[in-house]
Amino acid sequence: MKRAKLFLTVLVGITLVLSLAQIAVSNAFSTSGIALGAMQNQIAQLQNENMVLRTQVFTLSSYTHIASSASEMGFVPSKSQIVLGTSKPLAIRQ
Amino acid sequence: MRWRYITILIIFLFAFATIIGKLFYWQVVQADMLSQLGKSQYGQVVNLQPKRGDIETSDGFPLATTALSYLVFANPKEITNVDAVATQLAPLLSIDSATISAKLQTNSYWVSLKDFVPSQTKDEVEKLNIPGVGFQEDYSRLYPEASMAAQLLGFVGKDANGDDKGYFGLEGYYDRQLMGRAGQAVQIHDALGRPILSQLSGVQQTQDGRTLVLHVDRAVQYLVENILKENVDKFEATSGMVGIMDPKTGAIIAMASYPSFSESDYWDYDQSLYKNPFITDLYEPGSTMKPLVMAGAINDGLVTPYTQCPICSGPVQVGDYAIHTWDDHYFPNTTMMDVLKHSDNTGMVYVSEKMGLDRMLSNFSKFGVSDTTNIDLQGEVASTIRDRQTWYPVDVATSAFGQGIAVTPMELLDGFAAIANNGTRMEPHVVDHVITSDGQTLTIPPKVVDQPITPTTAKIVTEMLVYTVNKGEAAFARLPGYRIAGKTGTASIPVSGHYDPTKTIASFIGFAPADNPKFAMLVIMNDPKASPWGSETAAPVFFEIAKNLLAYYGVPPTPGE
Repeated sequence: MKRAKLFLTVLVGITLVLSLAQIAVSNAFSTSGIALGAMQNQIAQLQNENMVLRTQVFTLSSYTHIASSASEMGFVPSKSQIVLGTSKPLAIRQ
Repeated sequence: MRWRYITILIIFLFAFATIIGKLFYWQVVQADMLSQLGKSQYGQVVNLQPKRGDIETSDGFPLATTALSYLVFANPKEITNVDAVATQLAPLLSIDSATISAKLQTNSYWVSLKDFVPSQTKDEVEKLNIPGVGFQEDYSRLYPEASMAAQLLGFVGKDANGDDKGYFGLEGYYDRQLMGRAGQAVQIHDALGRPILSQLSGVQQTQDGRTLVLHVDRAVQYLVENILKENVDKFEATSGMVGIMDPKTGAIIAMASYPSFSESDYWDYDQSLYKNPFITDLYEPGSTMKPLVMAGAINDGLVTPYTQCPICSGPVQVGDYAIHTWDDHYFPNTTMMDVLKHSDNTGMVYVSEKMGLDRMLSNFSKFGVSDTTNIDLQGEVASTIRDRQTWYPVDVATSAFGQGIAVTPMELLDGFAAIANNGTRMEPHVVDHVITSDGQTLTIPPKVVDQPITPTTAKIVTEMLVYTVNKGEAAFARLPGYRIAGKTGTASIPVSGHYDPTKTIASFIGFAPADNPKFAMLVIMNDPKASPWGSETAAPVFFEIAKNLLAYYGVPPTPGE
C-alpha cells in the first residue's frame, strides 16, 4: 500500500515536472516566430543585396562598359601589332 | 407514461441522426473543401519562382542572367496630390508625368506604374516616401554586355498565361532547360500573420533553370560586332553578318549581324530584327559556292588543279543562255587553279558538265546544302533542292557558281568548314555544356555529320584557295605572312524572276591558318553601295577580323609567306 502511494506520488510529480517543462518550452518558443520572421527577412535582404552586387560586378566588368570608360579616359585601340617570328639559322644545308 | 419515454427516445434518436448526418456531411462530403478552408486560415500557399538559367560565354561571363527588379505600383485612393507625385516620379521612372498623372487619377485601388525597375531606382523612389506607392519584387533578364549577340541569344517575353518564355535564338531553343521548375510551399502563420516555427512545409521543390555555357568567345564576339558595324556603315551596306566557327569541332566562336536589337527592350525594335539572319536568311551564295563544287569534282577524279578548261575562251552557251564571266574577261585553256583565282564562271560551267546533275546533287547533299545544319538555335531554315526532273542544263551550270540555288550563311559556312577539317563536316553547335541547378555538367560532344571529300582532296582544295587569296581579286587585302584559304563572292539578288541589276550580296569565306585552321569565317555585306564587289567590301572585313584573331590566338606568321 505504501509502495503504491509512493509510486503514485512519483507519477504525479513527473507529470507536473513535464507539464511545467512543456509550459516553459512553449513559452520560450511562442515568440520565436517573430525572430524567425526577422531572420527570414534578413536572409531575403542579404540574398537581394547579393544579387544586386552580382549584377553590378557583371555590368562594371563588361567589355562594353570597360571600352566606354576607356574611351572617356582618352584611351584609343592600338592598331599596330608586333610579331616576333622564328629566326632562320645562320646556315642552312640545302 | 410509456408514450413519454417513446417520444423522448424518438427526439434523442432524431438528434443523434441529425448530428451523425451533419458529421458525415462535414467529414466525408465537404472534407476536401473544409480542409482547404482550414489550411487557408492558418497557412498560405507560396509560389516559389525558379531563377532562369544564365547564358555564359566560354570565359564564364554571363551574356544573359537574372537580376532583381521591381514592379512599382500605386493606390490612387491614397494619393492626394496627384500632380506633385507624378512630377516627382516621372524623372526616376523615365515616364512622362502626364502618363503617371493619368494612371493616378483612375478610380481603382491598384495601378501599375512601371515594371522591371532596377533596385537602384527602387531605392530612389523609396526615399521619396510617398504614401500609396509600393513595390513588388520580381526577376528580370539582365544583359551585362548590353545588346551583344542579341540575335544569337533571342529574348525572354511572356506567353499567353503571362509567364516568362524564351523566343528566338538560344532563349527559344533551350527555353525548357533555362526556365527551371516552379515550386510551391505552405507557410504557416500565427493570428497576426507572422510565420511560426513549422516554417515552410515543402509541397514541391523549386528547381532553378540550367546554365548554358557557350563556345562563343566574348572577346571575339565583341571584336567582330565592332568591326562589322564600322564596315557596314563604311560601305553603306543595308546590313551585314559574320559567322566564325571552329572547323574541327563545329563550335560557333562568334556570330554577329548588324543592324540588331536590344534584348532588354526588344519591343522597341522592328520584329524583323529578332531573327538571326545567319540561320534564317536564304540567299544565292554566288562564287563562294565554287570551292564546294570544285572540291566535289576533284574528289570524284573528274578534274585536277591543273586540268585545263577547253571552253573558257569566251561566253559559254548552255541551252538558250550564254554564260559570261563576271568581268567579261576570258582565259583560254585556264587551269582549275586559275578558275578559282579568277572566279571564272565559264570554268565552273566546264566543271559542272564534267560532274553532271546526279553528281552535282549528291555533292550538294554531302556538303549539307539545302538542309538544316541542326545548329542549336531556334528558327533555322533551309531551302529544298528541287526535284531532279525539274533541273535544266542551265540550272546545273549556274548552280556551279552559286546561282539558282539558295542556302543560309550557316549552311555555307558549315559545308566550307569541312574543307578546313580534312573533309569532315561537323554539326555546328553554340552550346558547349549545360550546368544543372545541382551543379552537374552535361557536355555536348562534337558530332561528325558527313565526310563529303577525302583528306587528300581537302588539302588540294586548301592549296587552291590559298593561291586564290594570294593571287586573286582580294590579294590586296590579304595578310602578308599568313597562309589563309578563302574565296570571294558577289551574288546577284533575285527579284521577281530576274536579278536586280544594281544590288549585290558581297561575301568572303575562308579559314586560317590554312595548314592548321583555328577558325572558318563567312562575312556577308548586303547591298553595299560603296562597291558591289565581295573583294572590295567583305574581303577587307574578313582580313581585318582574321588579323585580330590570329594575334588573339597567338598564331605567328609563316616565314617566307
